[in-house]
Parts: sequence; structure tokens; C-alpha cells
Amino acid sequence: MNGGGVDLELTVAATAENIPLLRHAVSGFLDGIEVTGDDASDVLLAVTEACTNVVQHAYRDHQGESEPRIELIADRSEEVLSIAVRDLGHGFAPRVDSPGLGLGLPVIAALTRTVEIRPLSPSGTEVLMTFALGQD
Amino acid sequence: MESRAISLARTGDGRACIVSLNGEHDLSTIADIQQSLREAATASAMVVDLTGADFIDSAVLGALIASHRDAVDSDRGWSLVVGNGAGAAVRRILELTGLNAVLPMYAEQEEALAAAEDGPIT
Repeated sequence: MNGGGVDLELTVAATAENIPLLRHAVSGFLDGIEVTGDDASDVLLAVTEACTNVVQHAYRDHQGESEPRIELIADRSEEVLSIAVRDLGHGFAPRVDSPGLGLGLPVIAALTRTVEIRPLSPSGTEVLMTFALGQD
Repeated sequence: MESRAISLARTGDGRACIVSLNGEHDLSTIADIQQSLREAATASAMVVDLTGADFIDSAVLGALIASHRDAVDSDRGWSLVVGNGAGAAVRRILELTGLNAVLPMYAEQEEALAAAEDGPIT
């Protein structure tokens, strides 16, 4: 993404321990662009759900040619905040033994202005979320 | 960084257990939460107190729902406390998922404890 605004780019190992790390990094980014209160809370919840999805689903049965990673890219341009959460695994591949409630995506959809889930080449998935800012 | 504590306490008469989550909780703390919920389930009634929680996600909600379902199935009391101190994200996800209308939820721990000790609320 390059909307000409303020960016944050992070790549970390796709582990549960890194989920709060990513959330805190986004929290700092939001502070820096003066997104606070309920707006910030919604963004952090959506980011957490997207990252949790990567850890739980994207690298299941991963064969190890590359380290499982989460990529997060945030871009604030004008009144829109865009955050992409990417994996290089198999994204939202369904599993019958999912440990969660299947609430992650509905929660993301409820918190965002738009959400797109799209495949990456040669492998991986991007969850691209946008949030409207300044709507109070 | 904020504390991410999970505490487990038993009431004086030993009839009920209180699991309190403080700080931020997500997939990274889910195993410890599930362990505390299992330990609390050895009492005839249990209360989960989110008043000190700043953040929970759907992974934590999943653990709470499983704990509640288990309590209902085994005829034990189970209540949730979301007091004034709970973070905005805690209230938000409970509202978004509609679980604030499904789980027996109270604003005060004493009230929740009394309800749990009265038996299961489905």
C-alpha cells in the first residue's frame, strides 16, 4: 500500500506470543496519528483477530520451506486508515477442528469500513481492512 | 507493558471459585486462561471477573463460552462480571458478538457470586 500517508510495516514470526507485540505496535502507530478512544480500540481488536487467524490457520501443516510469518502494513491517508495483515501460508483455509468459534471474521467485518480477503502469489493471503477516521 | 495476570481464588466456604483476568488477553494467554477455568470448574459455582481486563478477543470469548457450556451441562453455577473498570474493547466484543445477552453477566462481583451460587443460568 502506498497512499502517500504515514506507514507502519512489520514482519514477525507467526506465533501467539507476537500477537500482543503487533497490537502494541499498532497502538503506538495510532497514538502517533492521533487515533484514540473507541476508534483505536476497534482497530486494535480487528488487528488482533486478523493476526490470530494467521497463527491459528495460515500455517497449519506448514512444511517449513520458509519461516511462518505475519506481515502487517498500516497506512493512514486522509480520513482512511488501511491495515493489511498477510501470511505466506494458506490464509483462511477451512478446518473442521478449528479451536475458535469462527467469530474472528464476523468481528473484523463489524469493526471495519471494508474488509477484503485476497490470495497472494505464489502463496499466502492478505486481509485488507479499512477504517473510517474522523467520523465522530 | 501492562500486567497480564490471571488469578484464581476460592471463596471462604470453598463453594465457589473466582477467575479474574487483568490486563490484555488473547491467544498468547489462552492456555493459562483455560487452565484456570478448568481448575475453577472443580467448585460447584464459578465467577469470571473481567473488570480488570483491558482487552480480550474472540479466542478468549471462545474459552469463556466453553466454560459456561460445561458448567450448564454439569449443573454448576457460572457468572460473568464486567464492572466499570473493564476496557472498551471488552465491552465492544461482547456487544458485537451478542454474548452480552447470552452469558449471565453482572456489574458487581458479589452479585455474580450470589447468582452463580444459586445454580446454573442457561
